[in-house]
Amino acid sequence: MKRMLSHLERMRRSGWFDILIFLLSTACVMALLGLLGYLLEQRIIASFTPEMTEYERQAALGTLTKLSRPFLTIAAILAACVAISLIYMRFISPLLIENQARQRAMRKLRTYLQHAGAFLVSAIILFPIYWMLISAMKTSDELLQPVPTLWPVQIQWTENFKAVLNRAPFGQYFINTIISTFFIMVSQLLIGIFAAYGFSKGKSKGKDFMFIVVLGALMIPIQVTFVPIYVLISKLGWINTFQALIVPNLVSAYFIFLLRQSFMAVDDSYLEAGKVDGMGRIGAVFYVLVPMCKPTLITVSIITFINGWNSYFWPKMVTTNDARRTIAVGVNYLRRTFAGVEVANYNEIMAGAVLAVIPVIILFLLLQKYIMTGLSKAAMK
Amino acid sequence: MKKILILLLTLALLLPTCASVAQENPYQVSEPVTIEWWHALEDQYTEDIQRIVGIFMEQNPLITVVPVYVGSYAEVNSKLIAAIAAGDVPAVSAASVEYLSEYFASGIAENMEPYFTAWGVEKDDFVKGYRATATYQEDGNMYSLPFQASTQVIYYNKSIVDNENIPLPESWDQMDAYLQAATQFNPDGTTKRWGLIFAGWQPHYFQTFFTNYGVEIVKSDGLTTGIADPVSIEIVKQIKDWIDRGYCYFAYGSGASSTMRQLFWDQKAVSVVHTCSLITTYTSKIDGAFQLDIMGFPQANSKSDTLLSGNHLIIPAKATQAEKNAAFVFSNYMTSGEASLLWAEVSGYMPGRYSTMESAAADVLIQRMPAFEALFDNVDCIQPRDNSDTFNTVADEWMVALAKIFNEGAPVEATLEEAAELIEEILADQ
Repeated sequence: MKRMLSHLERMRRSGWFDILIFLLSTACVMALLGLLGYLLEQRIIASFTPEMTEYERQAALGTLTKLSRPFLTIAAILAACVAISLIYMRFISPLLIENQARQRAMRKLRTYLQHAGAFLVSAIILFPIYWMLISAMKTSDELLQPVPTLWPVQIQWTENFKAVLNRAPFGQYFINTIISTFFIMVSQLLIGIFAAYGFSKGKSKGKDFMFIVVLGALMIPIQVTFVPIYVLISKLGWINTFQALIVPNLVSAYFIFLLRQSFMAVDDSYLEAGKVDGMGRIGAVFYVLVPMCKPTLITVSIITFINGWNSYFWPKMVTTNDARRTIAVGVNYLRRTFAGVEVANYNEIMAGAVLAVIPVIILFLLLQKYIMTGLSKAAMK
Repeated sequence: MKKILILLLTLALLLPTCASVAQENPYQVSEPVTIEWWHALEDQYTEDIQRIVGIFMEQNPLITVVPVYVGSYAEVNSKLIAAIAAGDVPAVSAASVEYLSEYFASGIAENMEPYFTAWGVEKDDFVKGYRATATYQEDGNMYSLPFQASTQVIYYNKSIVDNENIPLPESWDQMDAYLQAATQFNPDGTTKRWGLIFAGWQPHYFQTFFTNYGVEIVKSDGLTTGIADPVSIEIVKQIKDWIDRGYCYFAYGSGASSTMRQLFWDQKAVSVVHTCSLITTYTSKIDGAFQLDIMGFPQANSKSDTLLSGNHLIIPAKATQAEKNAAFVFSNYMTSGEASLLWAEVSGYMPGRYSTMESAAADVLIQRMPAFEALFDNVDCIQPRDNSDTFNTVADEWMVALAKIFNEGAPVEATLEEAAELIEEILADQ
């Protein structure tokens, strides 16, 4: 008993223990609800008469009774997870193992289990990407079958990609998207950095009020503002130009907010030290703040790039020909439908989507280290 | 003196003639003009668009047409609204039938009547149902040109029907015999081959089965519905009986359309209810495996009405007069004669004028695609449909109730009465 309590005490000191207790409580609540639903269901079933149709019986059973089995299933799964975790913590975690040799062996097992868990989670998260890839290699008939296939019956290695490249000038779309995304990214970063510096380190009156106005801009969706902006762009004669794609997106209120938070975490003493070394404001921003907030800036750049790359609504509004069309709009234009309702060529659309997503994947692979650092630092904050 | 007098008199005679020629057609295109045509015809129509527009430009060298694919009709609508606000409109735009009444009421579309007069276009030549959709009820003028019309049809496998001597139903009363003959069962009693599949994912596919019998989805008072009236209940019970006997099913929910099409292409259904605009898709997918044909809806109370879908061409009123003149010439070309028959052949959408359907070229098309004969013969059965938001909401509730009855075994009267109550609440709120 004493030993068990000692084990429990050591487990309790582990941060995971609280999570497990929470999961166990949730499992208990689910089990209670499931049991209640089951008892209610039995009572209702006992009141059925032979004349009742199946529909009337289903209608008589309320929501709680219908959910009793899912509740019980979830409770069982949660309880199983908790039990497995407790067993893991007791027998595999180094917290509770005193024997050194056993600790080393358990450490190996722990590594295998962690890798297996990571593999499983990755498989679930990557399944949509896998689906996109294999759909790009199927025929349209196979994709329209009621029962989906996990591997193409007749692999079209390049046919769909060739069809897409023949039908649409993807090269032009890529160039348009790269140019517009690059300039949007650079301008949002530069303006975001200076604006965030002003909002975080500035000493002007009304700074907080101005920041609230900026935050207010976050709440207005583009569907509300696109008509007046379109009117302005049209009157300037910018339809089908890079200016139409870039200028309305020069500033991002969201990134001003993010960068402000990041700059606020940098102690003023660093800036003071920079001033002592003879730096001006610009120097302080680029030689002190920016290097210290590099992961956030890189994360912001990547998000800006991805948003610009995937942007659909606005480019669709301001382009009417292939000269300035972007990749997201171009992929949509591949669509062929049945009577304008159902898509008939998912295979080609998926092939177009694969082509569209390749640069984003390359960017992620190149900057993965910074993304993970930026995200983990943001999580810690 | 005499010569001068003769000259003056001759000039005096000629002047009215010149004046009348000058006034004869104020909408003539007299100088080169480039116009944009915004449309929602997807990529599979690109070559056909280029071909048909190319023919037009050869015949009209002063007019250059730039076709612009905008997206779906909803996307065309939103972009057109923005363009009108900006004053930078295309000369011609496609418009799905559900947006027309709004365009007419808000003055977005140009009045076509003066152009008809100037160019000698007969309004009566437009198919009655399409003309009604193109007409603004307040002033009785047409503000659009019917471009591509579609309606509900029953596609059937002519090879099976001919080989097995299955009698095609001409009226609702003959449906039972048809379904019995067309359906085949497995040894375990499940259906091996469906007689008919009802398209149940959009109300207009089955609405006229009821309205032809006089059922009013929304009654003339605008506050009550007839979906729970005795006639409607009888029809629902009849369909439910066929479904329970395994002759047909009500295709409802996501994937219902593709499942239905595939069953037909695999010859596991003898007939399906669908839109005529898919005739080329059906023909290409069947690829000669069997003969495809179309029958109109079986008559009910001597009526076999179906509902109009499709799109029209509008000329935005804010375009310049030169653009509008050219736009009318182009729109008139696209909606008549040779061009509309070309569209019918490549897209399955029907021509909008009687003269087109009665022409020799139409006979040639029918020889190539016999299914069009049934469509052309029944064109006056195509009626405009109510595209208002209220009606769409009401019709959706009705569709959900029917799905519960046909697919979940819900009791007919109780479910329809419950749906009727809900619909009348919706109507009362409008």
